[in-house]
Amino acid sequence: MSEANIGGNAGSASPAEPRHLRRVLIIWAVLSVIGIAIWLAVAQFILPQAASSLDSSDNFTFLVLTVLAVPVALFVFVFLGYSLVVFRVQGRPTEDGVPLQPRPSLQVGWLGITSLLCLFLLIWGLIAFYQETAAASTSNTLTVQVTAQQWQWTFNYPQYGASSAGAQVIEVPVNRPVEFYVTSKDVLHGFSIRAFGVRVDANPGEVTTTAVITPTQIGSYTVQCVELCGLFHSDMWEAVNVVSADAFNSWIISQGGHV
Amino acid sequence: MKQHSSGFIIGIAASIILGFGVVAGIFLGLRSIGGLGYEPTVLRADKTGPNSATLNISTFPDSQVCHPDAPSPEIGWVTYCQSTNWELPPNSLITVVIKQYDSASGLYNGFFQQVQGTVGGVAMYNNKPMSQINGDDAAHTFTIQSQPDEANPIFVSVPLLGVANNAPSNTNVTGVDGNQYQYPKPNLIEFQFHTGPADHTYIWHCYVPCGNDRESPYGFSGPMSTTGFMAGTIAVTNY
Amino acid sequence: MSSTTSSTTVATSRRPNLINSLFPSVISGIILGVAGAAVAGVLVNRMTTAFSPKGLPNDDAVAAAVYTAWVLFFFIGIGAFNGIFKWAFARREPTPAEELQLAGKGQGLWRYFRFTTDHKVVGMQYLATVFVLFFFGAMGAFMIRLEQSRPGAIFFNPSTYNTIVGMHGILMIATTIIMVSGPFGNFILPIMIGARDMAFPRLNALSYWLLFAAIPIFFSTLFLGGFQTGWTGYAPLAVQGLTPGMDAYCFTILVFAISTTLAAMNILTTVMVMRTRGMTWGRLPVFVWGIVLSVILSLTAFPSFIVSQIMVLMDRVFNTSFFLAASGGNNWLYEHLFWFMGHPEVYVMSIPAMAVAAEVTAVFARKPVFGYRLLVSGLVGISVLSVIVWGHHLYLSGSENALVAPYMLDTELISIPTGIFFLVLIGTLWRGRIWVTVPMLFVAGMLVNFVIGGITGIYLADLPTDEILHGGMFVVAHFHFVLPGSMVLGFFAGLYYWFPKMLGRRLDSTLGRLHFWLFEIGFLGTFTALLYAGLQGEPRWSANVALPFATANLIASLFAILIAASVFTFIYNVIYTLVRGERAVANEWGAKTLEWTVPTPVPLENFEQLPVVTSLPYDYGSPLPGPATAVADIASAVIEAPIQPQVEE
Repeated sequence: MSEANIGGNAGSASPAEPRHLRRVLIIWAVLSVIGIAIWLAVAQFILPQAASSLDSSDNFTFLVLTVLAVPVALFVFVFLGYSLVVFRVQGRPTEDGVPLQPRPSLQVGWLGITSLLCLFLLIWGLIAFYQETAAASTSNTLTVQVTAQQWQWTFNYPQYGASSAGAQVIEVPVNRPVEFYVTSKDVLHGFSIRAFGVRVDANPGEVTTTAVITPTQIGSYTVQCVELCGLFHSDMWEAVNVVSADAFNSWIISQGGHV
Repeated sequence: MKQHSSGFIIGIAASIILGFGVVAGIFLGLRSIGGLGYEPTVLRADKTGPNSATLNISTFPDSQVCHPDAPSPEIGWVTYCQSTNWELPPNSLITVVIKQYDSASGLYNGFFQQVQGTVGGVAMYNNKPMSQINGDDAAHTFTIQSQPDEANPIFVSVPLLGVANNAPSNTNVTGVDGNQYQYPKPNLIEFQFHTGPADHTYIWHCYVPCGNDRESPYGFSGPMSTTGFMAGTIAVTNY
Repeated sequence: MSSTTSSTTVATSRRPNLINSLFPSVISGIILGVAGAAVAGVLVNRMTTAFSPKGLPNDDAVAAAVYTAWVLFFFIGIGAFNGIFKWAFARREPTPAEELQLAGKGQGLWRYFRFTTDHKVVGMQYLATVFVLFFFGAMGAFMIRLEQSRPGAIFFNPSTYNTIVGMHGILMIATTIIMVSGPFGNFILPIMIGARDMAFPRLNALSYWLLFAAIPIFFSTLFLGGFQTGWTGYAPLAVQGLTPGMDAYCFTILVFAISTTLAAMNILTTVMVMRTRGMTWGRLPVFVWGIVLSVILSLTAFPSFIVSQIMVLMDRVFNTSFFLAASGGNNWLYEHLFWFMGHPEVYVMSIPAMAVAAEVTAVFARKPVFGYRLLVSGLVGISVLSVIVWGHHLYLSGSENALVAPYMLDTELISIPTGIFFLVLIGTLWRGRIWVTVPMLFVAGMLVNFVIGGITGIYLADLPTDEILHGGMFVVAHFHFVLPGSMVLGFFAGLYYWFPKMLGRRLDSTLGRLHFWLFEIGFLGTFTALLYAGLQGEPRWSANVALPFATANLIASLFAILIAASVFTFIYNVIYTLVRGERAVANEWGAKTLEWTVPTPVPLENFEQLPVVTSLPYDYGSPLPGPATAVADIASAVIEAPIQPQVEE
C-alpha cells in the first residue's frame, strides 16, 4: 500500500489488452452522429406547431439544446454500458481493479469542456431573452387585458372597448403584435398560450406583462392555466383564434366594441 | 442465481395481486371520504317533450334543506339544491327555473353581470326580461363552462338576483329530512339555452364570491371551492 | 447492575416487566397525546366561539391548538422530557447502566417503540418509517396516474384529486429528504467514522419521534377537507382554503422541519468532533462527506420553510396579511421564501444519494473512487451554488426581468459540478472488476436516469425553453427523473448494500433484480411519455387531462402499473428475507469502510476498541507490475497509481 507511483504509466497497461478508451470514444462518436440525425429527422413531428415567431424561436432553442444533449447523454450511456459489459466479472471478483487516478489534464479538460457548454447555453439563453424583451410595443400593438379568476379567464380589449363574451373564445388578428396584461382577482394563476410562447403568472394586485409577440399562423390555439389555483384549475381554458384582420374587426363589433 | 421453489414464484405473484388489492382499497377509501368533496346524487332535468326539458333548482344560504347531515362548517354553506350534478338531454331546449333565496354579495368581475349564452340573450327576473343586472345586486351566478378543448362548447352565464338583506324569512321550505325551514321570499329567475350532442360533460359554478369574506382571496373559499355546494358538473346524455 | 429508574424493581427478572415497557413508550405517548389534543381542541373551540361576533369557532385556531397539544403531550407521554426533568431535579447523575438502558439495552424489540437513544435503533426506526411513507406516497402516485389515464375528472372529484396530488408530493419530498440521512446517516454513519454513537443521542431520538408525531397531523388533513395547493402550498391559495386541512399541512411541515433541523445539527456535530483517531477530513468516506454537506445545506434552507409556513398560519389564524395583496401583502414574498428552501432542498435530497452511489460503485468495481478530491470539491460546489439558484423557479412569476439573468447564470453553473459526479463514477467503473450486484444495478439505473433528468433541467434553466415548459408536465417529468428516478434509486442501492449489516440477512438477489427492472422499465415509459405531453403543453396538476394529451397520459399510466408491481415485489422481498432469508456475513461485500469491520448484528456500543485509521477506505488495487514510462496520448489521461496513504505506516 505504500507504493506510490505518480510517475505515470501507459494508460492501457500491457499491450495485449485492447485499447478500451479508443474503442468507447469511437462508439460514442458514431452513436452521437446517428442520434443527432434521428433527432433532426423526428423533431418536426415532436415539437408542436408554432403560431408566433417567439414560439418558433423557442422551439428552435429546444432543437439546438437537444442536439447538444444527445452526445452528452450518450457519453454517459456508452461509458456505462461498455464498462458493465466489458469489465464485468461473473460472481464475486477475486482480484481488485486497476486503481486509477485522474491526471490534472483530464480534470482541467473535463471542467473546461463542461464550462464551455454551460457558457454556450447561457449566452444563447441571454441573447434569446434579450431579443424577446427588447421587442418593444409599437403604436400598432394590440393590448389585451387578461383577468384571471377562479376559474375562468376574462378578456378586455381596452383599445376597442370590447370584452370577450360567451363561448370561451377570443380572437386576435394575424401578423399584428399583441401584448397581454395579466392580473388576477383572487389567487395565483398562470397565463399560458403554448402556441404563442407566452407564459406569465397572474398575480393578485399586480399587473404582469407577457412579451410582445406576433401571431403568424391562422388557426385555433389554447389558453391554459399553469399555476394550481384550486378546484377547477385544469378546466380553466379558453380558445384563442388567430384570424384575419377583417374577421377580427367584425368579431370586435360583435363583442360590443367599436373599431 | 440460486434455484427458487415454486412457492417463491407464487409468493411474488401473490404479493403483486395483494398490492393491487390495497391500491383498490385505498381508491375506494379516498372516494368515500365526504369532507374532500361532496358528490350528491344526480338530478335529471324533467323532460317536457322530445327535445325539451326543465331544470328546477333552488339556491339557499345554507345547506340545511338538501344536505342536513353536513357537519359544521358545511352546514352553513350556500348550496344549490337538490343537487349539483345534473343530467340534461342532448340536442334540446333546456329551461332553467331557479328560486333564489339568498341575499346579495356582489360581483368581483363586471364580466359576469351580463346574461350570456341564453336564448334571446335575456333571462326573466320575476317575469321581467333583463339582459344584465347591477353587479352589486348579484347573490350568485349560474355559469356553465366547458372542459378543455371541448368540441361542442357551451357557455351560459346568468347572474342571480339577490333578495333584500332585511327581507323577512316568511317562506316555508320543506327539506329532504322532512323539516320545515324558513327563508325570505325567493326571486324567480328563468332562462333557456340549447344543449348539443350526447356524451359531453361540462362544469358549472358560481362566480359571486360569497365565501367567508368578500375580500380577496377569501371570497372564493369554502363552498365556492367544494363540489356539492356551488360547483358541479353537467352531463349531456341520453336518459 | 440493577436499574433503578422505575419504581418497580426488575433487577433480577430476565424479561422486562410489561408495564415498564409500555410506560413510557409510543403507546403512552399516543394515549397522552390524543387526550391532550382533545382537551386543547375543546378549550380553544369554546374560547373562540365565546369571543367571536358571529358565534362561530375559529377552526384554524382550533386546529393549531390541537396539533400543538398533540406534539407536546405525545412527547410527555413517550418520556422525552424525563431526561431534562431528571437533570434539573434529580439528586444524582444517571449511572452508566441507566444510560445504557435508555439506549435500549435489555429491552428486546420494545426498544424500537420507546424513546431509545441508540443510533442503530433510531436508524431502524427511520428505515421502517421511510418504507411506510414511501408506500403511501406511491399509493398517491397510483391514484394520480389512475385519474390521469382518461380525460375528465371521473375517478375523483377535482378537490379530492388536488389533495391527493398535494399529499403525494409532500410525502415523497419529506421521505426523500430523510431517506438516506435518516436510516443510513443514523445507523451506518457513526460506525463508519469509528464512533460509538451520535454526538447528541437524546436529540437523535427526539428528531425521529418528531417525524413520527408529524404523521397523524399530516393524515388528519384527509378528514378536515384536504388542501388544494399541492405541496408547494402557494399563498394566497393556502390562505384562502377555508377548511382546516390546510393547517394540517402547515403544521406537518413545521414539525417535520424541526425534526430535520435537529437531526442535521446532530449529524454535523458528530462528524466534526467524533471521528476516530486518524480519520482526517481527507480520509472521510465519500458517504460521510455527502451526508455532511447535505445537512449543512438543510440547516441553511429549512428555516426559510419554517418561516413561510408560520406566516401562512398567521395569515390563516390571526388574519394577518403577509401574502394578501388586497391588504397590502404580496404573494411574491411567499414564493421567494419557499423557493429559497425549495431549491437547496432538492440538493439536500440528492447529495447523500450521489455519495451512496459513489461509495457503492467503488466497492463493486473493486477500485478506489476515481478522483476522491474532485468528487468532494464537486459536491461542495453543488452545495454552495444551490443556495443561489432559487430564482429559476420564478422566471415567469412576473417579477422584474432583471432577475432572470443572474439566476440563469448560476443555474447553468451548477451543471459543472454535477458533471464532475458523472466523471467520477464513470472513472470508478472504468477498468474495474465489476460485480453486478443489485446495488450496482441500481447505481447504473441512477446514472441513466440522472443524465436524462439533468439534461431536462437544462431546458428549464434557460428562459427561452422555460417559457414554453414552465408549469407543465415537462417540469414534472424532469423532477421525477432526478428524484425518484435517480435519488431514490440511490437509496435502494444503499438499502440493498447495507441491509445485511443492519438486519443481518441478505435481500434476495433475484427479487432485487426483478424489482429493479420492473421499476426502470416502468419508470422510463411513464416519464418519457410525460416529457412528451409536457412538450405539447399539458399543464401540471390536471385533474382533467385535455384531449390532446390523453394518449400520452394513458401510456404513462399503463407503464406505471409496472412501477406498482416493482413496489410490491420489493415489499415481498423484504418480508421474505426477514422471515426466511439467508444470514449475511459480517463483511458481505468485501468492502473496506469501518462499518464492515464490526460483527453483524452490531453490538450496542459498536466497537470493542475504537479503531485507528491510516488511509482512505479505498485501497483496492494490486501493486503495479513494475515501473513503466509515461506515454502522452489520450489513453494516459488517467494515471495508474494506488491512492497515496496520508501517513507513514
